[in-house]
Amino acid sequence: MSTNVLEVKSLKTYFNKNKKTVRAVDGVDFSIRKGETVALVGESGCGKSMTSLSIMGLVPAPAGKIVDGEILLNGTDLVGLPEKKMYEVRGREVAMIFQEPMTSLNPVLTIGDQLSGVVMHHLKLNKKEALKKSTEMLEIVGFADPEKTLKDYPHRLSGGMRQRVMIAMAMSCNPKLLIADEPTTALDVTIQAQVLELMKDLSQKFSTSILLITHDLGVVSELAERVIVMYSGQIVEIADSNRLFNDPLHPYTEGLIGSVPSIDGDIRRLEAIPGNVPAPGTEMPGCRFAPRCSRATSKCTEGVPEMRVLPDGRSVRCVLYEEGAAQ
Amino acid sequence: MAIPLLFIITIISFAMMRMAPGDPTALMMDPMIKQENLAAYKESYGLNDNVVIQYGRWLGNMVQGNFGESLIRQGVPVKDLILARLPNTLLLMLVSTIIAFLISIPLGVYSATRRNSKTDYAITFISFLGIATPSFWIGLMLIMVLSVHLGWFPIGGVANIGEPFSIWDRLHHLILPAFVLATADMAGLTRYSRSSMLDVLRQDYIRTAKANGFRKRTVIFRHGLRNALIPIITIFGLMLPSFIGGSVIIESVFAWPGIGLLFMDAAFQRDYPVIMAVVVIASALVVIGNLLADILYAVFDPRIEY
Repeated sequence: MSTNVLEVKSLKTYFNKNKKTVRAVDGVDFSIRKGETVALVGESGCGKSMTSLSIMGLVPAPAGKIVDGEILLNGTDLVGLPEKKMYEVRGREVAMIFQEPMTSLNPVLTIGDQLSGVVMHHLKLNKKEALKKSTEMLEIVGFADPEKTLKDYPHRLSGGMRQRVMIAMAMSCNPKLLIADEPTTALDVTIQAQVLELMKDLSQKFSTSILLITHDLGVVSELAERVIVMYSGQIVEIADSNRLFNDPLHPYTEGLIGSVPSIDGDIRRLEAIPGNVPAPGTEMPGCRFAPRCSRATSKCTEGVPEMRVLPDGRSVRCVLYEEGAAQ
Repeated sequence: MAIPLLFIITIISFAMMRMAPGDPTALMMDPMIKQENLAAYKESYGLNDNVVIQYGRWLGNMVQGNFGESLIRQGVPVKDLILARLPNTLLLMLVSTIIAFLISIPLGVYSATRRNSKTDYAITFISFLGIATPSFWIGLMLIMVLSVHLGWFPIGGVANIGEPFSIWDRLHHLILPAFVLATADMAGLTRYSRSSMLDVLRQDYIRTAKANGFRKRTVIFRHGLRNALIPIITIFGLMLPSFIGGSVIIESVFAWPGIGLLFMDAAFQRDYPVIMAVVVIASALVVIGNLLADILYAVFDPRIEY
């Protein structure tokens, strides 16, 4: 058997809006190995959050629907799995933390109620054992006085503390995969570093795989081993983190990296990618990035380029790297 | 805050009451009475004095707990009239409130969780029908069908006259008026619970609960409902005045001997002391209800501490 925890195969999640079909996720293939941290990057609206919600089976119905593809978690296809079975997957096998720690915890329940609720639900512990487990988890994520925190309501905690509670909750049932959707975007820079460090430690300790969804390339270089770049519902490049930053293949990846200031001291103008992400639902022949691409040729609009695996293991979707293309 | 408010309410009611044509003597006296006797009678009750002086006199007595005597039923202290009837009204309002909440909140929550379904549309339709229908009409229709034709319920009153006290008999008399009084607010309350629940279901913490693998039922009741109830408490505070207003009409329809019926009779007979006493009691009830709502807020929402 493969050591892949998660395999996503030609996943298509579409939305119906005013009788128009929006292809939020349009044929996405990738996999995550055990213990690996993979980043999913791209601009807002490129389909990265929808990909994660598809894995969780939480695509907002009835407008959104997974129309095709497989999501294999340890070999079990989650697409079309009955809701009853999904209850046992969510929070147990795959856990998720969100962008907004301020609003992601229930304001009328104590931290203890919320944490122990999850543990009781999945691990079938009684109240006393669940509270003990919750205390342990809070200790692991760095609370000095976990017993007191258990009795607190969320409004008494800061954003960073709440995100740590979210992490404790997500890790409490020792999931195989943790999906972190912009986990640090809403936090102060100093807190960001702490939260990233914590996630790094925990994923090693519990050998949990992480799917990190972000548009912050700094976070990517900090945490991820491999990077998936998405554009307009499709993957355009997959590569190891180091390689991707030093030698980006796809012009879009190049543009993304070029638009981040560098700390090396070479003073240069930041290069913005001209134009905007195509509006969701826009149909176009050929490469979706072509209208904004500085290296676009007439060939780019002839047909959607295939995803091509290069001999060194990187994959890219661009005519520049197609069979026989002059490099 | 509450005291000046009560004060202003009494001034306005007193002024309005005295601006209305007629006075109690018109009703209680022989139409053939001599003008001198009538004038003497008015004088003896102080009805000839300046209205401001009359108000001052009434206020002075009221703050000492003296509501005076009824002008129509001579010699009967207003306090006794009120005390004899207040429990009936409070019972009616309490049961009514319970009925309104027990029916509306589940309907609203059900509607919200099955948004845009046929059941949701049906509940919405009935709610609007309920908002548009006056409750006295519903009361009269129910009396006609359930009491007169089918004979399931008594036509009015609190208990069968001449029979020993029994809880069943009391309940039997109570159900219909309490239900009709509840209908006035049920429709609005259902709509409000629905929108409150819909709002809560869109929140991030509901997504968290779903992502943690809780069942739909657990998500709605354990994680959603308590949050959805918080704004509904406001409605409870706002509902009380309409309950009191409604009780005046419903008590008349069902001949329910509460302060609403007392008020109605007193208004027709221009029995000034009784009218004013009921106004004070009703205002006090509203103020107490709002205070209760504030306390409930703190119980339901941990973010509020006094």
